[in-house]
Amino acid sequence: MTDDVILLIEDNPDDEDLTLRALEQNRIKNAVVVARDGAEALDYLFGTGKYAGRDVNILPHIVLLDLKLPKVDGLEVLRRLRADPRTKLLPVVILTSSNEEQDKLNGYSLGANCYVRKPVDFARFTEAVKQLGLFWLLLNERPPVPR
Amino acid sequence: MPQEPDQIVKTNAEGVSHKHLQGWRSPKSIQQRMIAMGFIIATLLLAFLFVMVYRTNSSFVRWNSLVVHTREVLGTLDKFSTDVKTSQIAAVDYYTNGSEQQVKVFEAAQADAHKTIAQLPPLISDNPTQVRNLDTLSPLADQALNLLGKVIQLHREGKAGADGLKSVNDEARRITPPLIKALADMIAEENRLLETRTAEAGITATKARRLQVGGGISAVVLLVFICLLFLRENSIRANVEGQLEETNSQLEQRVDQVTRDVTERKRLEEGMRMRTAQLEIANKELEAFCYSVSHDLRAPLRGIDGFSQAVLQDCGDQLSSQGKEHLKRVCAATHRMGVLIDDLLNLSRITRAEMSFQIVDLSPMAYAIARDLRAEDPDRKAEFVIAKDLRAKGDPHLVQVVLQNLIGNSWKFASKQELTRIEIGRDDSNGSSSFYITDNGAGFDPAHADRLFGAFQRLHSVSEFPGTGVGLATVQRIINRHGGKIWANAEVDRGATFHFTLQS
Repeated sequence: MTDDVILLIEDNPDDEDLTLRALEQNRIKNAVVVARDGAEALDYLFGTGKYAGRDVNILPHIVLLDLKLPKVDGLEVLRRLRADPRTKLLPVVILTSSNEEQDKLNGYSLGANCYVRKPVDFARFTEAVKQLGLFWLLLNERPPVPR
Repeated sequence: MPQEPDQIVKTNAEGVSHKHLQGWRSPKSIQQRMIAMGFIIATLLLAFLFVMVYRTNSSFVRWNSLVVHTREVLGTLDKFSTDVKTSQIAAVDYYTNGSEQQVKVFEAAQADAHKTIAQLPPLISDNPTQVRNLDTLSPLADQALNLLGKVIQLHREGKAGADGLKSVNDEARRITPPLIKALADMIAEENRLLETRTAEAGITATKARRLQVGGGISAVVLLVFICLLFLRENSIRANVEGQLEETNSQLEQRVDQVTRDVTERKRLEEGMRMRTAQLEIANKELEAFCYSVSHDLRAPLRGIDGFSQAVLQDCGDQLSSQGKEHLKRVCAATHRMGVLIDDLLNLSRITRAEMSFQIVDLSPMAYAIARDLRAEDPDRKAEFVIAKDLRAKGDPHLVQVVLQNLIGNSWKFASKQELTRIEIGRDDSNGSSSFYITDNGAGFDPAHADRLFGAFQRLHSVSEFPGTGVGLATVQRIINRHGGKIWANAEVDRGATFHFTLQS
């Protein structure tokens, strides 16, 4: 089900592996597309660069967005997503190490759907990923596709 | 009144304007009015004295001239009397000795007597008594002189016998007594006048002297008084002017000082602006640093923990129990590092957070914290005593952090007691008001109290009581930012009491 892709935007390979591991442990079987910086994420979503020719109407089910990213940072990615009618309603979960008030404020202001801080403790991290999967992939109804 | 300028000068010291100061001269002081009055009185007195002395003097002169006049009358009368006597003696001598020489003497004396008596009427015309007396005297004198002439004639005619003389003698006896009486009356009257007039002149002279002396003395006294007033007024004026000058110079100095102050202040403000800008830059850098710490230091920790867990999960059966234990230790250390980083970030965030001061009631905050702590461990026996209305001015969020840390500490360090007892209240003794939180926990050695508020400083081991040692450092930062103070009293195993104030 290509519809059920999870877009993971994460530059740290450790965090990438750990996230994938947590997803796997929680039996979340969705395909995961990993973008290692903000520019790559935007290429994927808008079918440019490396992802030129991709059907941009097929949107990921959920975007897991880190804030501190090379090239284009997380908040900028979010701003561009929200500025584009195609991705305006796309569910975005900010998954970050930052606990800064300013990041939370900016994230929500720019239209993030939720903000989760990555715990250092892997067990708790796994739990957080599990809860996210349950909620966003099963419980939550997706927004209608804009026409 | 001398107080008046004093008062004005005094008010000036408190900042009355320059213009106001100069105006003190325009309303005449009572002192000045007294001087003017003194002058007027002295002038009037002198004028009065002058008139009085003038009048008394002229009176004296008048009386004196009357005395002189009386003396003249007396002199004339005396001369007349002498003339008559001279003529009588000459006539008698001629009659006795027949010397022709005596006839000439007689004639001359007779003429003199006539001439003298003729001088009297104008002299005594002002005195009716004397006029009457003269009227009596004049015919008698004429008769007497004629009789003496008759005696000479009788001798010449050789009829100087006793018969001839008899009629003359009879005539003389008839005339002489009234003549003597009339003359004596006139002299007595003139003597009376002389006495009266001399006395009057004397009285007037005494009066004039008294007036001159008394007036002179009072004028001198008055002038001395005015002079004293003048001197006093002058010294007051000099004093006030001195004060005025002093005040003026003080004002000038103050203006100079203010000018200098303003310049200095501008310089300081400029310096402050620069420092503020530098501080803002430093703050930004610190924020960036903290962001980096929170983000970048945590990621590797997560990796360490995550992959240790992965090893344990994936290859656990290949590891010895010791190997598993070591990996668990790695994870525990990682967690602790995570907590330390978070606490450090909180400490830094509290230092930077903007504060909004308002009246905060610590009592409900303390109740809520106590409730949460009880909920964490419902089976623990604990007693909270929280005073009501613990109000203070402060930032609500930061005060909440203080209470959370202090009550949390008490809760933690009293965990080994059978019954936990924590009291929160206000201490108004020692003349100041402070809040306190006291517990029956493990306490600490007062010798190490100075290390209590340092970051990462702990007085107990982690195995005994968990913690990072950032809590009290955070509390102290918050209290400092409120301008308050925090201090603690404790003994080992006898509990601890933390006092704090929020604003000095």
